[in-house]
Amino acid sequence: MFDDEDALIDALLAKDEGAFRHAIQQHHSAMLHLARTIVGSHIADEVVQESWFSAMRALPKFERRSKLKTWLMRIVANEAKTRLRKESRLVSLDAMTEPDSVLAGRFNERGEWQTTPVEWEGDSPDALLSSHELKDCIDEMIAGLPELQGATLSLREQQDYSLAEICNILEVSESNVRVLLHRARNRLFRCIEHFQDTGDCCTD
Amino acid sequence: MPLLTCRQITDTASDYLEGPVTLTRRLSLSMHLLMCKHCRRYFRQLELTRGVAARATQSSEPTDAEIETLVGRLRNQDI
Repeated sequence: MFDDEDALIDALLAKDEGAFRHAIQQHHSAMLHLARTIVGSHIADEVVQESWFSAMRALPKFERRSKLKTWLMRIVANEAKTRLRKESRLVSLDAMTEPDSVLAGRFNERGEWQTTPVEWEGDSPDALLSSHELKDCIDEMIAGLPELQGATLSLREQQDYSLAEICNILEVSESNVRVLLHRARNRLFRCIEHFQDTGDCCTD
Repeated sequence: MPLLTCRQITDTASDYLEGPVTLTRRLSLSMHLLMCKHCRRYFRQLELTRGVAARATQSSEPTDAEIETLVGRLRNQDI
């Protein structure tokens, strides 16, 4: 009955209980996941709860130019970043024009590979993830990614948002989204490689 | 056509994956990959990395009890 997003929003404005339930069923887990990647799981629940209240207060002003979900995700990101700022955990993104340093030490002065990439055993993501140790290691690693790297990675690879939508949700420039994404991918690359090479989980 | 170093290739790899990339740069990349097995491996495994990221554990769906608690709070909230 709420297949049409306009109808859902109208019902939410009318404080229809079924509409609340539907919206929560549809969007709560993605919102929670986003909050976790930014503030960590210990306060993510609280952040999302607060986000729902803020969203319902702000709903009359929602202009419906983006999807409801994107708008909700933006509110979550905002709420989560405010928390980080309060705890002084939010790193400024101003200095993000530096090239990625994750693999920098692996090239010689001519820019050629010195420590070449290790060949992985497993030619598909599922084959790689058949190791539970690696899966746990990766979950932990993504949760610990700095800046907004975890949020960017998750929005792009798990939620399939475009770069423009990620800019909108996280309120960062497209060039910063590109840098964050590339850093996150390279860190994950290095983590999988380390596991393939040693059988141990990466420590950074 | 500019010759790219392996380091330049890896620095800009996500731009190639995300696009848009000019034809000149795309050709430079293809040329480099033809000649460099390490960068070929890097690119192939970076694609695998994306697939692994997509399959990382996501947050579970809220339980019925959690949904009802939240619905109750939203309904009773003075907004």
